[in-house]
Amino acid sequence: MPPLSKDFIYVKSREQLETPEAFDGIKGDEFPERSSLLDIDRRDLLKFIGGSVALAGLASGCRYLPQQKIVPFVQAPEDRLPGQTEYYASACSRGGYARGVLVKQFEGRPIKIEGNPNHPSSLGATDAMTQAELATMFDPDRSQNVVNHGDVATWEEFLKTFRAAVSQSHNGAGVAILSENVGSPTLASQIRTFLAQNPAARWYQYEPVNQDNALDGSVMAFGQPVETVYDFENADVVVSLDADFFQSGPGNVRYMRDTMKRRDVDATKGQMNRIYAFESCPTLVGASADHRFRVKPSEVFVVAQALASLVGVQGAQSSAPGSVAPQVLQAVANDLKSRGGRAVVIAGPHQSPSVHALAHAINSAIGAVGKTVTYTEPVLEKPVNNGADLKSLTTAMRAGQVQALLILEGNPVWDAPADLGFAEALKKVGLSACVSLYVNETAQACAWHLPLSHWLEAWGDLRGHDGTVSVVQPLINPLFETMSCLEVMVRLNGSIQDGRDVVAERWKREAQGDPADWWTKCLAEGTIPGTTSAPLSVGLVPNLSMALNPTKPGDLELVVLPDPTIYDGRYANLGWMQELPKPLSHLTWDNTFQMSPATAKKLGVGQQDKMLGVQFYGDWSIIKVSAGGATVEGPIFVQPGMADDTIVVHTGYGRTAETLSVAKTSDPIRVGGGFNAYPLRTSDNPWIVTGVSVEKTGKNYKLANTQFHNLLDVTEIDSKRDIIRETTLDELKKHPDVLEHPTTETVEKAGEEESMSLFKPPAEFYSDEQYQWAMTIDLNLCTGCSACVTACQAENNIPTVGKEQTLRHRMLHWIRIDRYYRAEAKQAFDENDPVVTFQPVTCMHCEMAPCEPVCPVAATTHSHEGLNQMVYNRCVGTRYCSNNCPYKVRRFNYLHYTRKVEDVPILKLLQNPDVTVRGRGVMEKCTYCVQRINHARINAKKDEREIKDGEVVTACQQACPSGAIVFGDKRRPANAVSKKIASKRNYVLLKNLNTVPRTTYLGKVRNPNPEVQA
Amino acid sequence: MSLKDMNKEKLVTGDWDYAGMDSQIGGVVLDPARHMEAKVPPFLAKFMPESVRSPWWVMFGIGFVFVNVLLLSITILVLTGIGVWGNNQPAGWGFDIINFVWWIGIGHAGTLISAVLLLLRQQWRNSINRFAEAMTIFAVMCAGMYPLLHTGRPWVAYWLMPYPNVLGLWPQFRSPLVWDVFAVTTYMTVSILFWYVGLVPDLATLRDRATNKFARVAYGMAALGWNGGSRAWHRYNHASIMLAGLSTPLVLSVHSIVSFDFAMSIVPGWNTTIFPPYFVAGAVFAGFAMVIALAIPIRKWYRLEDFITMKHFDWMAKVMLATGLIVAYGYAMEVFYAWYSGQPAELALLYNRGNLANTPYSWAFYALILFNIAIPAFLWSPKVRQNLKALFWISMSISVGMWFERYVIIPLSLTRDYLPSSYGYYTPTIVDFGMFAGTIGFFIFMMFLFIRYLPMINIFEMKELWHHMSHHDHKEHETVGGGKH
Repeated sequence: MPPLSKDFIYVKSREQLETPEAFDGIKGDEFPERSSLLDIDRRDLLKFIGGSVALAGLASGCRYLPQQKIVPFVQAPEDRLPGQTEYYASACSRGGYARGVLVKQFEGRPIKIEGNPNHPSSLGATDAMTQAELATMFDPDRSQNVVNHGDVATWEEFLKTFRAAVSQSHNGAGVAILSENVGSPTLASQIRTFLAQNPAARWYQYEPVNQDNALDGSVMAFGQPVETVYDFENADVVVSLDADFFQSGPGNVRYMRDTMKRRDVDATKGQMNRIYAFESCPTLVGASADHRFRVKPSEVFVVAQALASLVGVQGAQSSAPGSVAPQVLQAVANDLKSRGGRAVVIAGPHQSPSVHALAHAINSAIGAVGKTVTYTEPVLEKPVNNGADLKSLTTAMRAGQVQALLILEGNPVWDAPADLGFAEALKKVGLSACVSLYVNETAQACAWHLPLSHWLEAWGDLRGHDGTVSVVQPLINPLFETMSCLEVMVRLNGSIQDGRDVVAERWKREAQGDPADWWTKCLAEGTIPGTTSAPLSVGLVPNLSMALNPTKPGDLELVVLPDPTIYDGRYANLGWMQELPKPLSHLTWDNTFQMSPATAKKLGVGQQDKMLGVQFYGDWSIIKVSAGGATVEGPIFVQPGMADDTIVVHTGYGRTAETLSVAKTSDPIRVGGGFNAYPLRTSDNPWIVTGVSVEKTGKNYKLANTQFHNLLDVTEIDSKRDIIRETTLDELKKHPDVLEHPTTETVEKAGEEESMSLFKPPAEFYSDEQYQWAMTIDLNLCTGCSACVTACQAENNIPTVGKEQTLRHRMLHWIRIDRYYRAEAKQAFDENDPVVTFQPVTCMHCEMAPCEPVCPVAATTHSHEGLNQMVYNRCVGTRYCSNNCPYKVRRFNYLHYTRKVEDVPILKLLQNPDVTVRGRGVMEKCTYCVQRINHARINAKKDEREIKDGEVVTACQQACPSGAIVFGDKRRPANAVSKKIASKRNYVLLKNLNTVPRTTYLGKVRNPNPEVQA
Repeated sequence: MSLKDMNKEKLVTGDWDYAGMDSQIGGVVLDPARHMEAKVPPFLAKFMPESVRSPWWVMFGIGFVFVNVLLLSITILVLTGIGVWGNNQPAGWGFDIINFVWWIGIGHAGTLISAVLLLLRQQWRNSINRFAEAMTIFAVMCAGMYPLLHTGRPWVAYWLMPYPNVLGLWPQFRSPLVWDVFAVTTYMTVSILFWYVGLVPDLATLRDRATNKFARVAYGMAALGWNGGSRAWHRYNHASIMLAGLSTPLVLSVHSIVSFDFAMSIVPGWNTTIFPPYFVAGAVFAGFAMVIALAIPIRKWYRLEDFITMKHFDWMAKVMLATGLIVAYGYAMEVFYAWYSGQPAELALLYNRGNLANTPYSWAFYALILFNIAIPAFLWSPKVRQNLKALFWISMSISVGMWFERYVIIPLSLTRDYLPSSYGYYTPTIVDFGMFAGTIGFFIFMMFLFIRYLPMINIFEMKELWHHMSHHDHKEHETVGGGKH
């Protein structure tokens, strides 16, 4: 199929007609804030008059231009104020599970996604991917038309064709629907209606990142598929068996919040949890863990079995993993056993069903069931093994048994296990149709492509990780001629109801009281009450240990995991996600074969350029990895913390569809885009692949790293820099001020220095009569998940710069997450197994800001409320401020990075109207979300009151799942931020520079088990 | 020549009369044939038509080509943005400020020679001051381009100037960059004035001796009606002494203020009190190196050996040696203070400069030591000071070394400051090199235009010196001082 032209924009909706005009005035305008005609000065007015007279003659005489008019409402909708933002509750799906959100709407368009505090899977926070969903909504590459064999067609034609195919079939025989994991009860019921009407039709389900192993594990353990819901808030001890439950999987945001809540040393009065991580590759959980063990993927089973045996699971063999000492396992087991059920073991979705079953057995043996672990009916509507389901579909397709196939989202042509040959089998299907957001690889291979409505454009419902149903509420009419999967099924079922009615009708049946009022309340809260799954009482099958199936070890093992930013590839076309540094490697725009330094040495591959400072631009070897009959070439990356003899590769990269202008790999050095790792998966071993061989190619590749991948120049000097303060819980209890004054020397000096300083911020400048904004970042709560980075990007119109510019180190993120590998001294540093600490760094809003006095044009100034302000219009771009910033948080527009926003109309809709879109040559940086402060200020002034604590929530704070970021007015001691500042753990980054920053950090505390340490 | 002979060497040698001096020096301007006298190396001559087969044409051609490179680079820069350079996040400044400081430094010798040595009544300055002043002006022109063009939005760079405007906004006077604007513009203005005032009597000479009518009119207008009367000379002497008095503090202030760009900041390796004197010394060091590097070939090409004698070179080399030692002292003190401060960031910087094995920039630091300290140490030897080839290459070494000094100061400090997470690396691009080569080309282009159209040696001062030397006893000129009694 030839590529669709991207030059056409089909305008159908009101919103799209309205907004371009709104932006036309701003384009090229020096003062875009000019709100009305009255603000135009005399010269401009004359210019406009002259220009319009001239153009009026031209335009009417020479050519026809489409007339577009903006007409005010004759009757304005109630409560609708121009320029006022509103929030609507909705939900988005990943892996079939809901992530509850509140979407900020401005003049009929969604501008920001935030977490829904009422939603159990969110509790008001989001992860980075959810933040980026907004960018998929306004992605210029989104599909806009029905396409039949490369020609533009209509929905009617498709529906007619498909209905005819269905009615010609015998009871639907040969008709198949392939969906992603369906967590929507209404969609499932529509599919079931279709199946009921056509009993011989089949429904299959496949998603490359799935819960197959967890599901099979529960069948193995309990004889039936169950959903496992964890309560980390009640867990004193958490053992992760290769599980990154902070980063992916159902409920990750909630689980992060619950787990980290127990690490807030001040709030929990020292009742801190303890995390053990046995993992093959470094994860966010491992970075937060008190003890982290590097274990080969296949050996996780051995560890699980040993733990099971030690905690007294019947029949569990006692085994001895090579990489973890027996006394350590004994200590972990003791810790698990001694908590009276307030402990939990969780297995990673890529670990085998046996590991999951063992985790269930351990949880049961330590009495965790009912306390920290709850079992419920599966949340997904069709709890089947995705891999097996796709296999049976492909078999049927190959056998010619499928005449009509409707693919509801997903991209199996590209991401199905290689050995299935899905793409080949698809050619035998007479009528294939794919509903998708983009004209992706599958859509190109199908006869029909049907453009999908974004979830912000369509009605629906979804279940969260605990079964709670939330309503997916659209924020905007579909921008293009699109339909949601639900609407497609409704149409195929012969109904002409729209999505809203179908969803409302389905749930109003369960209304309590007046259905209309109840429904309105459900919509406002985003969740439907009483839908949380009830706990299920299940018992372990007897002789579980007989069923266990150890993972086959290999000399070299390969783990295929979803990417931390672009997931299974669905976010591959988003610059936001491509440029978001991966939490541990800080790589952007590419995937790699990651391995430990020791393994790289063993394989004789590595970084070609050993020079330290050149690491951003470092050339990395390209290797050829063969496994399961497939060979894939890609660059390696040496990642400290990886288990030895293990390679991890992330999926989602290497897209080939021409329509994906950001993701496709035509020019990898400049564009990025990585390589496709899916061919390395087989249907038998989709996650952990053994029998891997590696070959050197002699070629090199440039990887865009935003931070040094490695602090190999750890010197005595560097360790004295006092950047991260970290201690143990025991130490903190003994010396509560250990983090305030890390050395005795500084305790003595501290008082003296402050009284003697000649350089104090002027007290009268920061008077108590004005708000005094401050922020604290609790390093003990930060997991490094990077949600704040994307939230900031969405809120503050931060453009992406592309791989080439990232290689030049010109990223524009206003907040970055610094990752440090801990080392006491150079000699003690094991580069294979470092301890990781994250530190988010953003503008510190120093009271004695070094950036301010050096600006020659006073473009950066200080407000009396303590904000370090950046005046874009005044900035001439000398970059002196950035040079003089010791935190290096200022970002410069080296090129016109927002040109695309000017040129592509749909991207204008993505911009936050409260924040200036910066042009070339100006400096920018974190503003403490000054637009949000001002919004709260206006509201407070209208009510003649002070801004309340918690009324201003910065974008980063809002998104942070673990609540590490606190912002507020520090004058009032009762405010949350003041309490954080008063904490004994509070410290100032680079205090000796006397910058007096308003952002301060709370030191990190780890809670190691003395038995393990000994 | 032995050391003893050297001391006896006169400031003007040979047997001259005043008219002979006029035609020897002024003839370079008035007689185009003078430019064709020197030979071009045979490998070049092969490719050149006879009408332009001379060093002047070669240098002018090189200058012209690189002026075009400069224009091209500037066009690309202004159309695309600073992103065409290698500057990046930790390294907000790169070639732009390195070259700015380098050019400003080169300009310094001119002012020192014309102003300070005039006040100190050092007559040996007379042979080289015109030429050095011209060099100053062209170097400051090259330098001035950088701060203007290095701004992200050069079309509003005028905001750095204090001017009344409707916004009621003034520059921020606390910023060293604003001080720079004042320092550099003042320097430029005074240098041009001084140079032009000094030119007036010579322009009159050219007017009087020109045979071409156009030249006569042009030089006549430029000579401002100079009649050589005693009143004119009286005014002239007062004006030049006053301007010398104005310029003298500038010699110290300009580069001190440029050094404040660094010293006033908190970047490790920049925030150092030794910077002002060490920058001034470095500037004189670099300036004299450039004067020598230009004087050696020009003296030969235009047969000016009698006016720029070995004594001049000897003394200029001694000035270089002295200022070079001050610079070396500065380096030593930087190292000492880094150690003495005990600051981790300063110590880390020291480590990053010094550790050859494990850091990306230490090569630049050692190159700096080699070019600026080790090689110039040969100037201790009088034999080297009298060997023009050696002097030329040592001067070149110093020019390169002083460039490396700024390279070490700027990207190295910026890419390795307080937070290791923000460490970076600076790689210049082709446009960076284009700009740099372009400004060098512009400098050469302007220098050779100057040589073609204006007397490169002060004719009347040479005549005065000659008069002085031939009418006083030998003791007088041995002490060299004296001047105008």
